[in-house]
Amino acid sequence: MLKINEGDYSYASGLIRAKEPKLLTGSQYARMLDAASAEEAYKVLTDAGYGTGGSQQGVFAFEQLLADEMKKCFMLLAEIAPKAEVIKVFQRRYDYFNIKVLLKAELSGQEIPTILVDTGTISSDSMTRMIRERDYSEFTPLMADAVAQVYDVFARMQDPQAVDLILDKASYQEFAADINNIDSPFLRDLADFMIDITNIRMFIRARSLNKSWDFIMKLLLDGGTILKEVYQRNSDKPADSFAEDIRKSRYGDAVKKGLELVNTGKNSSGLEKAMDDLLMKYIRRAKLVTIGVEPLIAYLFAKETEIRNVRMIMTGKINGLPADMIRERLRDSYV
Amino acid sequence: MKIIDGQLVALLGAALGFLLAGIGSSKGVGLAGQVGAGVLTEDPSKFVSVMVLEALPSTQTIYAFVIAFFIIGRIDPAMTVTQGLHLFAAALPIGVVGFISAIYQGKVAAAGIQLIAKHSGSLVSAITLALMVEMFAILSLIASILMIG
Repeated sequence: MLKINEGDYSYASGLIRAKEPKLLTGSQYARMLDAASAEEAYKVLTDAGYGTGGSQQGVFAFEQLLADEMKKCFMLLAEIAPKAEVIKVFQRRYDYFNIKVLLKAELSGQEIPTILVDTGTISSDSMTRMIRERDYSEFTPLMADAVAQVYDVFARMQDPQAVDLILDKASYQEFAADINNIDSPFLRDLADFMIDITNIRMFIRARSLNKSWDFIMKLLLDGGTILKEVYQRNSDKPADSFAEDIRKSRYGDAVKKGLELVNTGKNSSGLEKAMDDLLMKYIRRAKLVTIGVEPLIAYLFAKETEIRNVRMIMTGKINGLPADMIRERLRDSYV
Repeated sequence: MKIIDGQLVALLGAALGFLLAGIGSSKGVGLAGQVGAGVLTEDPSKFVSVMVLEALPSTQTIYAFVIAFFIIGRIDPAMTVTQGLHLFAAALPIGVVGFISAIYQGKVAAAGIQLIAKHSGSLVSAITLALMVEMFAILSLIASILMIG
């Protein structure tokens, strides 16, 4: 069990609080949205100190800028956190992303796409080599198991979706196991929260595709506060009855609101947004904690959300989408 | 010759009061200082505000020093154990309250430093909040002075 000694986080908490005002603000988002061109929106980012000097290579390379910004954030957190393991728990999700991309490329015989990220615990170059040479010595046991399972299942079923399924599940399983190993009620509750909203999303998406319980059961992650029975008894009913069933849980209102947006055709990704915003509302609790692991993790989520928003704006701007359309999809930010 | 006399008891009181308040202040200032260093890493221009807030929990030790000074001034080689115990008791308010209030004031100061890290204009609010805790230290100082008489 990894002990969290709050007193050790005094310096880090102070530093993070001083970093928070540098997160993008509403007016910076507005400037990006109202920018006449994608270049102008990109300039808001470079002015805000995004990325590193070398990564500012023009608007069409904005993904590189965002990747560098995320990497910068993880490097900072790993440096100031008294125990880097706490940050690694969150970095492993990116290892799983890289594994997924590499395995899919290998199994489909395609070239490795350039979307590998360097924010994981293993660099993208090492990861590429390890997957190519099937050298799993630096993998966690769960990671190695998941990779073996992917090869096995793909050999039998030839289904690329199975790759996603196995690795996403393993990623969350590892995340939950890691977090349960840290003595922090905030982090444990956060893991439950994330598992629940992931399950709710997957369940509702699967229901809208009229998938059977057998299929849904395989998707659902273990853990979380909503019991499997709740999903099971709603597995042959419309999504609204599921929303009614979990009405009294902390997710009730957000699910209802999200489904309304989807059902009325106002925003097809309304549920996703509602769940993300609910998570952000939960993360904002960290604002009340002066010293501890909470400000660090909250900053990480704030940055991740910010980067998702920036990606939506930049993609929208490059493709000439109207500002309002992008705006309604933006996630609530931390500050 | 008796080992314990009035003089020794009074000195122990002065020492205890000062020790407790000193430990409390060290903890309080230490905590605020660590948070302050974090803020200054990112924004060195906040040094003055951070320093003012960081220093606030040190007043408890200054108060305990005043009390120790008074007690030492009242010590008389001929004093009885009872007289010594009176002075010992007089050191307790500032010692105990100083110890606890300095730690809590350090926490408020640390939070205040985080507040000014986000809103530069909030220095006065941050100081005012920390001074709320100061009030208890001041009252215990007055109580100790009155007890010395």
